[in-house]
Amino acid sequence: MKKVYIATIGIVVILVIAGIFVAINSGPQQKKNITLSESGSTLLYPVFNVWAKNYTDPQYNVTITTQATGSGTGISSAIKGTVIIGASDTYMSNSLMSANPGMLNIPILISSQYVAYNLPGLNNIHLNLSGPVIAGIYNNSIQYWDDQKIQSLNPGISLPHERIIPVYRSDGSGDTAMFTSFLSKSCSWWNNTVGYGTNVNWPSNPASHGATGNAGIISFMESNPYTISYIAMTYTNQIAGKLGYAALINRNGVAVLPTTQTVMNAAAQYLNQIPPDGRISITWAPGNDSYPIATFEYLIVKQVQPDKDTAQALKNFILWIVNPNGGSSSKYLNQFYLIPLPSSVVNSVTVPLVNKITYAS
Amino acid sequence: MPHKLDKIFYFLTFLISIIPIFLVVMLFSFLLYYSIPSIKYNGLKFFTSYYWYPGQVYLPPVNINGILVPYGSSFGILLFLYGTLITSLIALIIAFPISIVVSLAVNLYVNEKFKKLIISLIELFAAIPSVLYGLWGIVYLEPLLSNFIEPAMNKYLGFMPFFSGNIYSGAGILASSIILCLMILPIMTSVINGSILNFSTSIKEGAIALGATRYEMARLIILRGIKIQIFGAAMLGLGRALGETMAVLMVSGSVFNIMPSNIYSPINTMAAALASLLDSAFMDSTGMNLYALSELGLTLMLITLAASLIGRFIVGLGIIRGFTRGEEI
Repeated sequence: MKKVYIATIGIVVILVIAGIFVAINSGPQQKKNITLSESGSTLLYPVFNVWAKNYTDPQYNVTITTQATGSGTGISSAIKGTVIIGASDTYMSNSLMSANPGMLNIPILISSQYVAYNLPGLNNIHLNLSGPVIAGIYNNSIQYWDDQKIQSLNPGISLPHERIIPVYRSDGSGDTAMFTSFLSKSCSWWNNTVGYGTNVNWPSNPASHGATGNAGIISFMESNPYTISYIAMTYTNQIAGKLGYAALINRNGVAVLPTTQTVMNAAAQYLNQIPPDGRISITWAPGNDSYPIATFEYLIVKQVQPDKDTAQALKNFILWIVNPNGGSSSKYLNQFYLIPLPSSVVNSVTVPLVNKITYAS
Repeated sequence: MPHKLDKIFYFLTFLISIIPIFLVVMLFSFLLYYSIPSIKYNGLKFFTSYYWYPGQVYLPPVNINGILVPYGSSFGILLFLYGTLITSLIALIIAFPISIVVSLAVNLYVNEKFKKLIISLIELFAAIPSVLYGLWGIVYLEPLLSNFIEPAMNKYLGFMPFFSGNIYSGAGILASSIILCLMILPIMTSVINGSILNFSTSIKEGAIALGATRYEMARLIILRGIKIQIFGAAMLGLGRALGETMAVLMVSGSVFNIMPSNIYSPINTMAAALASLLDSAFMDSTGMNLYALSELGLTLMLITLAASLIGRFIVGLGIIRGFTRGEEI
């Protein structure tokens, strides 16, 4: 009798435990918490904040933390593993890649910039400027706005005899990188002496000035007439009505204004040349309707993530970013004047790179 | 067992009290360690050249005398060094008389209520974040300088070499110096004010009793009596000006590779350049940009340390002398 008792109680206990277990599992699914930390590009910072607020992962309870530290710091932090995502306006150089072979450069967006000026009375007119002329302005060989080299590109426009004040970013900047990349490709002496990068060997020019951040450039230009500089397209609303911007002579010799369309045209010209690792400069694109300054924005991540769930959550997030119904929808990008990747680039470059992300077993 | 507890307490307080020393030594050794490759590679040229070329980090690095560096790179801090020293010096020259006059005025000519207000307002100045000074500099000071003050200076002071020549914008040496001046005024004024307050009342009263006017007392008795403290205050102000980054970065015109030709020229300072160049230094796979910036930081640390030590030494000297003369300090 005693044995039967114990067996019955045992069975009941087992059933109760099993019941509780089933009840828990059939209830609302408990998602695992994952934090994806991001640091880097100040250009991507605003859109990352909007993404972070609006993103929901189907599998995980994902929190995205953001930091505007600069592209170089973002890359360095991603390499050291202090953040999961390094956001950068430029891809890693060959030498940096060979020193850190385990990093991926994943293109997610396209950004571009204006070559802007403050010419009182002429700010509503788009001057035509070329790479060699802009390079000449920066290295002090073209000193006045009515210089023959500028005038010949703009027949019929009465330019003032005023000293040109070229302004550059004194802090390290992806905008400097794409601007100098355009000048390097369109002007050989610039390529040999100044080069391109987030900070460069700026020519010695007594009229030149440096400023910090796009906001610093804009405020300096507003209070100083006859200035010229480069400003990220993200700041379109901030320069509207205050500064003028140029149509740039592209590789085919055509003056092209910066618009979403002309920037996308430029990116499309490079479609077949993008290497599998995604690292390519898309300035100085061929084609009559291509604007010559544009760049891919990159997420720098480790190929091998610390665990399975982080790797999966990261993959989900990046695929959502490049999804035209997700992070790349116009409701997120239009306000920042960022341009989504063409679907062909997403399918042939971004998705294969995302699929490379794995985890340490 | 109070004795044992005493020992433990002594040991703990000793341990905590050496933390600041430990931190300074750690920071110094960190900077020195990271500077070594740059010191070896750049040598003396680091201080004599004004070209700061980060080089082309997207091209393969080149091997120069067995050291890998970015193609086309060159590291010279003369422009930054000059900018730091000249802006701090001009700031000091402007702040020096103002702080003395303000301290004398509030102590000798202003009534007690008003004096308290002025002193607390000046102390409030010290608490304003430097970025706000920079903002004011960009929005208000720069246009004022480039539209009115600098053209006038050029016209009336242009006979002197440093005050003539082109004016390209309001940003530059003068704007940075004025902003720095505003930032060091509080510390200088409060040190000088303190010295005047502590100056022997009997000597002051003696001077008045002998028929000296307030002005004579201030000039002949007080200023002479506290000249060492005034010098110390100036050195403390200098120490603050040397290391200031943000405000100067905003109004200096943060320029590279060109030495200023006059007081209106754009300039760059060591602290501002360090802040501007750090992010890009991480893009350099050879690390030389980072090493060179560390050497820049080390140089800045040594200069500010020297200014602060000299200041403290001289103020200390003043206190000792004061005691030997039997004055109340």
